[in-house]
Amino acid sequence: MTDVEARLRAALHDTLDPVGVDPARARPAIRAARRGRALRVVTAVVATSVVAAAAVSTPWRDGRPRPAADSADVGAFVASFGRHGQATVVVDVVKSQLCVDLTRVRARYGAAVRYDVQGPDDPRVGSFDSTIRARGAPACTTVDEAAARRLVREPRLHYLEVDPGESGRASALAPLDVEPQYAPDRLEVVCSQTGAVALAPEVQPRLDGVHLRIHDQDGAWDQVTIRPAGGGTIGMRLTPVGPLENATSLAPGTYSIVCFRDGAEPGFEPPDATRYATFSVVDPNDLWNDAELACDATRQLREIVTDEPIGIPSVPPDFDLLARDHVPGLRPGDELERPAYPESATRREARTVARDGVRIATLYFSRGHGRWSILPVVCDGSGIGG
Amino acid sequence: MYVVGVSEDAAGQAGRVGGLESLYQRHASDAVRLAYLLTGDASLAQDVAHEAFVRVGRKLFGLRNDEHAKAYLYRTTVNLCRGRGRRQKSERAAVQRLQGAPPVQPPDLAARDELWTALLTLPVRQRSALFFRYYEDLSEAGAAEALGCSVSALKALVNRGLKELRSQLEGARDD
Repeated sequence: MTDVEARLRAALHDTLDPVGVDPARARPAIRAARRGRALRVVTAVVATSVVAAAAVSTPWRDGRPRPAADSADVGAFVASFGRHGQATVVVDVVKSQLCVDLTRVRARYGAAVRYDVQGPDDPRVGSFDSTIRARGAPACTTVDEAAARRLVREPRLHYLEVDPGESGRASALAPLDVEPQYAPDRLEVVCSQTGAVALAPEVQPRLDGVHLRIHDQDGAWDQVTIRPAGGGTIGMRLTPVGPLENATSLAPGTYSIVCFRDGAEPGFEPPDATRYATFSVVDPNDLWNDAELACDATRQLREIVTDEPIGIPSVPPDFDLLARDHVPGLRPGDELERPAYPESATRREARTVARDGVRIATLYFSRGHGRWSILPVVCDGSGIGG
Repeated sequence: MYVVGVSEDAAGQAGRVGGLESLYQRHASDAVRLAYLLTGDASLAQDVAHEAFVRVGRKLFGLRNDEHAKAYLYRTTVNLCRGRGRRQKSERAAVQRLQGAPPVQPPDLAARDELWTALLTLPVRQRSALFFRYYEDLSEAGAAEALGCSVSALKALVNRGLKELRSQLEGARDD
C-alpha cells in the first residue's frame, strides 16, 4: 500500500467513523419506506391454480398525469401473483386491447393465459382468451371496447383474473388501495395489428440509457420509429426472431412509437395516429447529461492534435485525462462528464465541461492524423482553448 | 453529528434482505457516511441518505439479498448526491451572478487537512470509488456494483482519484 493510500484510509476512518444517522429521523424514514412498500403488497395466491386477482388502479403514478395523448383512454395496473411475481396490465380503449406483461412472472405460468374481468355489479364484464406466443413475453388480446372503457373509467369496480388453464379459480378479493407505481427501468412495447402498445406510460433510464424491449406479436413487423415530442425521428429495425432490446440515448421527455412493415410508416395524423403509443422518459436519478451549452454565444476552436496514439480502436484512452493534459484553460475543479447517459453506447467520444454547475464547453474526441484529436466547442469568455 | 450502534441480525447474516428496520440498522449509517463524504455537509448528508433509504425501501420487494440492497442503497445515494451537487452548483453560480459575491463554501469539511481538501476536489464518482475501496474495503467487483459500473471503470476511477490526490499533495508540499 502506498503512502497516499494509507493516509487516505486513515483519514476516511478518522472522519467518517463517528458519523451516523440522526436517531430522530430513523422512525420517519422507516415509516416512509414502509408506506411505499406496503402499497406493493401481494394480493393472493390460490394454491396450485395460480390464479391472480388484482384491484385495478388506473393512475400509473399516484397523482401524476399520464402523457396527454392517451390519458383518458389507457389504464395501467398491476396484477400480483404473490410470490410468483407481478404482471403489468394495460387496457387501451382506442385500440380495444388488453395487454399483460408476464415477463416478471415465473416462467411455468407463462404458457397460456385467460383473462377474466369481473365487477361487483356486473359479474362478467368480459372474458378473453389469448395464447402467449413466446414464453415470458407480453401478450395482447382484442377486447370489447365498452368493457375496455369500463375498465379504464371505473377501475375500482373490477378484478382481473389470470388463469393459466390449470384447475381452480380465484375467489373475489377486497380491492386494494390505489398503488403508486414507479417507472420501470425497461419499457415493454408490443407491436400488434391494432398498433403499438407501451406497457407503461413512463420509463426511467439505466446507466447505459433507456431500455426498450419491442415484441412483434404477429411476426409481421420489421421496423419501429420513435418520434420525440420536439420533432425528429429515430428508427430501429426489428430482429426476425425474438424481441429486440435496445439501450437508447433518449433524453427525458415524451415520445411516440409506432411499428410498421415494408417501409410503410404510418403518418402522425388521424386515423393513423391511433397506431402510435406514447411514453415518457423520466429521470428521477438525474442521470441525463445534456450536451447543450449554457450560453448564447459559442465558438468552435481549432482542433487540438494530442500526442496520444490511436492504439487499439476498441480500447479508447482516458478522455478525461487526455482533455486535462491537452486543453488549455481547463481548471482542476471543472467537471468532465460524458453527454447523454453515463455509460451510453453513443457519444462515448465526447465530454461536457461544467464549471460551477454550468456547462461551458463540449469536447469532441476524434481519430485523425494517427493520433487522438480534440475539437472544443466553448462558450465565449470561458477561457477554455486559450 | 450522531453516533449509533450498528448490529447484525439474523436476516443480515443469512444474506437475506430482511425487514426495513433491520436494513436501516445495518446500512443507514453507511449511507450517511458516504453522503457526508460526497456533500461535505452533515445535515444534507442526513437528508440524502434518508431519501435514498426510502427509495430502497420501495424497491425492497425486488432486491435479491442484503448485499444487493446495500449496493442499491449506495448507488442511489451517489446518484442523489450527484443530482444535488449539480443543482447546488447551479444555484451558487446564479447567486454569484446576481449578487456579485463569491460563492459560499460548503460547511464542515473545508477546513480539514490537506488530504481532505484534496479529496473534496475530486469528482463525485472518484470520491465514491475511493470510499468503497478504502473505507468500506469492498472488493473491486463489490465496489463496481455499488457504483453501478464495470470493474474496469471502477479501477480507472480509483487510479485517477489516487493519482489526483498524489499530485495535489505533492503540489501542496512544493508550495
